[in-house]
Amino acid sequence: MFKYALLATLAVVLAFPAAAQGSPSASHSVNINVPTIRVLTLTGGDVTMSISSVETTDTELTFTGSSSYNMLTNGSDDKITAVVASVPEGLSLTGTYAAPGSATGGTDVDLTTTATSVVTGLARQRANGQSISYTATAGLDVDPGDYTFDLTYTILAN
Amino acid sequence: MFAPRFALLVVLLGLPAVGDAQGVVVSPGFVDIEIPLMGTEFGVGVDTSSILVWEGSPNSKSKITVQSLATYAAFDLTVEAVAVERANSVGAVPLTHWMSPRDLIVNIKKAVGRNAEIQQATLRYEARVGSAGPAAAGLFDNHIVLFTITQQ
Repeated sequence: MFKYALLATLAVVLAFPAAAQGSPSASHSVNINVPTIRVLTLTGGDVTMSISSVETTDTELTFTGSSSYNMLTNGSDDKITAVVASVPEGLSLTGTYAAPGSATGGTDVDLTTTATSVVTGLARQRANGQSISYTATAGLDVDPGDYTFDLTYTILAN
Repeated sequence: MFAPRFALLVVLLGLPAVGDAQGVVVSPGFVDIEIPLMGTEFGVGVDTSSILVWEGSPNSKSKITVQSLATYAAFDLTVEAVAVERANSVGAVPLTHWMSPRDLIVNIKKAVGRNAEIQQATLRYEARVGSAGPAAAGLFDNHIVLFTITQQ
């Protein structure tokens, strides 16, 4: 019986924080952090480009198409780059990009197999529905058919 | 003969301090809150891992105030005492830099008799990106959060 009483007493002493018996203040540290986040999404899916008009004086055919992007970054100086997996022979592709806030979107940027900056100066911002306008050209010597540009966009630190 | 002497020592240590022995303890010592990304929007970082334990005064009702000692805060942070025993939570309290102590728990009943009246509550912290927009990468706030039990 005495052993049980002793154990019960020990349990009470250990359970009650000694510091709570007389110290009127206590503190702890609360840290808040945000990880580095960059998000870029393209909306509208695949883009089908079409000819708007043809003149007999044209030396090449011009196709246009459009898309848009959403972005978010908490970086202080970010950019968006674009790269094409491969450019079909005889064709070329350019893009014109809207940019949110004080960022800068490129105009008629040549899109090639080398990554190129298309939007710069992104800083701690988010935006939806930023427009992309594509223009493709094909020489008259290009065979009729379907041609595809596979574009990859990346948002990253400048 | 040894066992009775040891038992007496333990019992004496277990007695509450004499007089107005109110006190408060918070644990753990460090809380890390990460603000999550929900799709393309920042969400709310929530932490409920902290426990606040206190002993009320035998002479009067008590309350617990909270204060952040931060000198800078980029994010919105609130703390709320939930699952409060024998007292009332005032709800979520904003923790800002250069703030004065604000009530967190009120109406802590008098301790009855000579036995300590130990009560506790869970602390719910909520952190969010404020109206200023996305926070800078790598930016973080550090709050030293001070809890004080006083007469009400």
